[in-house]
Amino acid sequence: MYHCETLESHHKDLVHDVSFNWYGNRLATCSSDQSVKIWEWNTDQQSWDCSASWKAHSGSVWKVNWAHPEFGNLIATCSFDRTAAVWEEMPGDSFLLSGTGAPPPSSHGNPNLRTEGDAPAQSHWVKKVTMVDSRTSVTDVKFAPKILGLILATCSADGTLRIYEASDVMNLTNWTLQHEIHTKLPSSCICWNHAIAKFLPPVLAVGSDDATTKGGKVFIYEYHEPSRRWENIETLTSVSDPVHDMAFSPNVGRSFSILGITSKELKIVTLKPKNRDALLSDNPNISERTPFESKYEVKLAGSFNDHKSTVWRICWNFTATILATSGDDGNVRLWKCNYKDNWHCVATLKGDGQSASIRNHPNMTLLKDQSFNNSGMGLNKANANTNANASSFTSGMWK
Amino acid sequence: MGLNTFYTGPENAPNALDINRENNNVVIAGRNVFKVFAIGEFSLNELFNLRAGRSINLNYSCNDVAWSVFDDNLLATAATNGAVVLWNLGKAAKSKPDHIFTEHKRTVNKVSFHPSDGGLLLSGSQDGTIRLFDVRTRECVMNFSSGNESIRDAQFCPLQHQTFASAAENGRVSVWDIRKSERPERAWNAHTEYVFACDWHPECRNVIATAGRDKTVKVWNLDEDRAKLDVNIQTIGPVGRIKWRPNHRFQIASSALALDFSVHIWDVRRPWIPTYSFDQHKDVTTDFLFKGDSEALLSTGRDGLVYHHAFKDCIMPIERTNPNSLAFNVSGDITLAFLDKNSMADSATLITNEPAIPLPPPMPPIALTSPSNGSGASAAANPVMSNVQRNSLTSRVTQTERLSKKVVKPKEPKDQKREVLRGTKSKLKLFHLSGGDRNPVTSSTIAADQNVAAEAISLLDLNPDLDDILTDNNWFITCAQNYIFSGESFAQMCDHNAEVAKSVELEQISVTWDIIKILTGAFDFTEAEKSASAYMQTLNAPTDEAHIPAGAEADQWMRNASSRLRHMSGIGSSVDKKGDHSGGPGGGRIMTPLEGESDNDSDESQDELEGEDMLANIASGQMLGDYRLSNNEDQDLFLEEFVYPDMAPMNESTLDWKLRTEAFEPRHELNQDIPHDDAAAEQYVLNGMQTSDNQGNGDDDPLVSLMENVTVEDQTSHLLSVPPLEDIPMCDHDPCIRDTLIEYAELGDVQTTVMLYLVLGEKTNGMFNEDEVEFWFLTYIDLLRRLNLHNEANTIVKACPLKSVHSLNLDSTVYYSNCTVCSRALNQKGAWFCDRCRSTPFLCSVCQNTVRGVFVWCQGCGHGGHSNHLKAWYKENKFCPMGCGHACQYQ
Repeated sequence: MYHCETLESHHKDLVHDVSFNWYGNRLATCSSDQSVKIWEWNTDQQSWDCSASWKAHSGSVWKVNWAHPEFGNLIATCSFDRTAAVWEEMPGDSFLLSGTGAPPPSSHGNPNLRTEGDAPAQSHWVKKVTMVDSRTSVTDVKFAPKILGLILATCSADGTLRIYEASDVMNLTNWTLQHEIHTKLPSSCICWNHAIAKFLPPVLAVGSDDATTKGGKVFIYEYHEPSRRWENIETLTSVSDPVHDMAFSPNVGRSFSILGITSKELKIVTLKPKNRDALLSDNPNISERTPFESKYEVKLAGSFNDHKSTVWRICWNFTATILATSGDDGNVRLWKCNYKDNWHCVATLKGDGQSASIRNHPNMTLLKDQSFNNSGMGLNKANANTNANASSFTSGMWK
Repeated sequence: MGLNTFYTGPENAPNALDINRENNNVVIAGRNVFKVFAIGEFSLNELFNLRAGRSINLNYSCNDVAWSVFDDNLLATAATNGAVVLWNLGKAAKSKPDHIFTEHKRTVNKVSFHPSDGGLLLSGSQDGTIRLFDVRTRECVMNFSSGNESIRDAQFCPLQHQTFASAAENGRVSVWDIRKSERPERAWNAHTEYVFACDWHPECRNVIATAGRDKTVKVWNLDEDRAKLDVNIQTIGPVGRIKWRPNHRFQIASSALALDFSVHIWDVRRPWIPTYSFDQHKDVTTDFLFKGDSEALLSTGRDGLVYHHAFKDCIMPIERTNPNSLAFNVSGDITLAFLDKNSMADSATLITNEPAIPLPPPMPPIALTSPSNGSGASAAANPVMSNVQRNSLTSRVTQTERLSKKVVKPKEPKDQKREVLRGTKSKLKLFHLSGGDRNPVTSSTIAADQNVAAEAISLLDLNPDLDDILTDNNWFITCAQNYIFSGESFAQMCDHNAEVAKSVELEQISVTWDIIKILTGAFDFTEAEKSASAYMQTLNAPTDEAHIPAGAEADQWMRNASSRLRHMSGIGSSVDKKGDHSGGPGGGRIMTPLEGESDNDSDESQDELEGEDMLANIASGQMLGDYRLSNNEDQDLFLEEFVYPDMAPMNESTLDWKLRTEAFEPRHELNQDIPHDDAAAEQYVLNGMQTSDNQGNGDDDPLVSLMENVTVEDQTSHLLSVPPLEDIPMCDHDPCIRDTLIEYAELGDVQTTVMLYLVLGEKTNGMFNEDEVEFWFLTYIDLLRRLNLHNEANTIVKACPLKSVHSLNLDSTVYYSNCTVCSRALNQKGAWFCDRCRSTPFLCSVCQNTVRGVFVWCQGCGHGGHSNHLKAWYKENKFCPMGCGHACQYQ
């Protein structure tokens, strides 16, 4: 059951990005009005309260991204003004503001009595660093998976991908530009593969919204340790339309990753490391691979145009089982994969809040029957094929 | 005409450009360039190079250029040496300078002709003065001084021709009346730094835009005495030039002096992001202007190129932005921000409110306060103008009038109160997953917007079956909190976890736990036997066999057992018959040995011997051999028949037998006869064992009852010296278990994987690569932490057998303890005794005993001790119990 709530954002222009923090109790929004707002989930009032709002850039703010809380309350923003910035919430400020603020006028008699209608404590965000290397609009900014350290990737409209590292986590004003990678096409989005085990090199994907060329628009880069360079290991030729957003499935312990790509339609691609077992068996030969060998088995798992319009954004739930996309039709669609690796739209959330529909996919119900069958024996014929190996009793959908 | 983008060049760094009235020629001027081009449909063609002739001096070095509004041959330039130069294109000579005004002492930054009186030329200079020249008399008629502040721009107001504005380097903008040179009509601080440009709104009275080094473009409302800031456009770089776009009252273009090479056109109602951008220049754009129809833009850049931009080739940053976005959080809530087509931009600007007014007719000649010729005579007196030109001038003036009227007319009748820009804002929606610990959102919690009150979408009431597709994370949390993986026997843990999984409707995982228990079975053997015998007792069968003690009776018992086994193998061969008799799951579950014997005596066959050997092998050999293997097998069977229904918390009807079936090879064909040779017989048994799970409902499966007996015999088998005839092949469940764990990980349910791994404990030795296991653990720990399940996460860390994970909690927390007596560091871990000063530093100041556990001390004097002692002490005393005199504050 979803309940729909409208939040009065007070942004003066389009909101380009919304982002939850790691724990899901804070929300950052950024807008073309050059400002960023932070919202807190108020458990008492069951509402989202704006705790901070400030002008972050001198251009539209395209994206906002939270760092892992291990590094503190950090967000990164990027903007049309060609910069990316890292902001840190100053600890204690909200406490100070709410605790030592001037008491309300003592018209009520007791000056120490805080009135109920007090504005939520404003927290204070300080710009730690501005990345000014880009010559064009910075279209996306993303923190790397935690295991890599405090690393930030940005991409620009001129197709340059930059990777910054805060070598000293305690000194967030000092970031060094580690890598500068030139993709051939204007970049629109970037995403790290968070679902990658320590024994595999880091991977990130860059998407381009270039509409003038016909080739693949998604480039997968992998860090090549021996040469200390990021190398393009894969270009997804199956995606030739302008790409607006991408999302790797979050880390849930799978050996493979799923990449959701939005362009004219939603595309879902799975990446399975080819040499994972070799890596696991500590094969010493792995480092001798030729650098440009494709290390991933890339498979297009689905391509959907249910939105019937441009699909702009995509995100995963934290168990990596549901994909959500938003399109120009103003709807959110939720997608789910069945045991046969087929993706289906399972629900539509209407943005206008007027109605919502569920697509009852025949395969979905079938799937349910198979997975959670309580009716005793009755071996389903359709099921029989898939039961060939001993482990498939676990296949199917889990919640 | 001319809706293509093309360019010419490179020229030598043009600084400025201007266009003639006909919009067919453009002049560019710079320090080293001064050229006139004809604007073609696809190209710019050079007409003149004015930087010709012998004596090229600093007068040719231009900061700005202006083309006379009325005279196509008349140009004025602002030279870097302080000269204002008039050029006559009609001159036959190569060198065309016509007149040079040298009144300015320093660089001239700006020249501009009066919009209606072609004889007046305004110039702004670095020397802090603005001068008005009469090009006919070649005189400086007025001198406006801004008081030593360098003038960067000076512009006539197109609607009030006696008014002009100037921009100075100190950030002040002044509005002057050309008849009053003493002081400006008004002046205000528009910018914090240099003001580089200003431009009057072409249609709205009293609206002026200014731009400066502070990277902003500001639109001012001069309706009142104080200039009111109407719009503030924040750009990326210091703004060098601005121009209102003709016929588009909300659009203003800007170019930067540094950083940004593009010309941006902004909509003042949406000042955050340019509506159009022309990014063709490879270096800073030095000047630009709109071609008359305003559908094309001409620009020059420091890259030397002169561009003719068509609007079809511009970038529209707004169009390229994403109109919506969304995010998921760990609770399953979705936030959606999407374009609200009905939203209105906040624009309280004068431009919006004021209806466009028609341009006033060209002003009659202005009576200047300073002596000057009447302009009526000027045309004749002007040597620059030929007769032809004069004719063309008049025709052009009328044309101008017509043009301006045509432009404004369509807007007049509209009486546009507000031209509101719609669809510029986003709506923010939160889709809360209700249920669980979060209450459904009620309308009271929803902010301001009354139009869109709370809508509760019961998304899923259309199809309740799909409810669980979109559930929140409660199941995950419940499992994380309630799964156990230590402190109990393996079977109990499995059962417990199965129940937990079942409680959150994870039937499949629940069944997995059961199966894992069966497969792996670190099964308490005696317990199993107990339940076995207990079960036996409830049957009609003679129960004594079930608990025949070891010893003297063993032999007899064994003999009985053997004969029974013989019968049992007989049953095996008659399974097809028996199979048909099986009733429902409840009835006839167990074929007791006795029944088997009585029913199947006649079925005893010649297979007897082989059968006996085989079974004896199982009964004894295994026990003596691989403990674990026999254990497994026995347990399989026991569980199937005795234990499972009792221990598993499910009732019969909900058991998902099918899933269990799925887990294994399709059932062995049981209706075949038992093979005649040994090897085949063994194989048969093995098959039987492997398929034992399938037999859950094959209640009367003879093999099961057969194995029952075998197990009962086990207790005594070690007393017998029946040597194993042959080792039967290992029945290895490991691959299956391994696959199970991996499969769950692949499905994304790392919780189940990790929990199975922990519960299985040592049984997983050698099954997995450490890296892989570490990956699972770290992932699961991460998920737990993300859900704020820190206790659970730490329990997992602690329980993880991997060193790398286990040590997670041992890292990075360091305690340094110093001796309270000598202040030296205590070296030993948890030392109660300081090696250096030979004292025990942690004495309670009340009882003088060593404090173990919580040591409470005063931050002021450093004395302390047991918390309860101190609490008691400070109830009655104010001062430190050590007698140091410190008034400790104990709270």
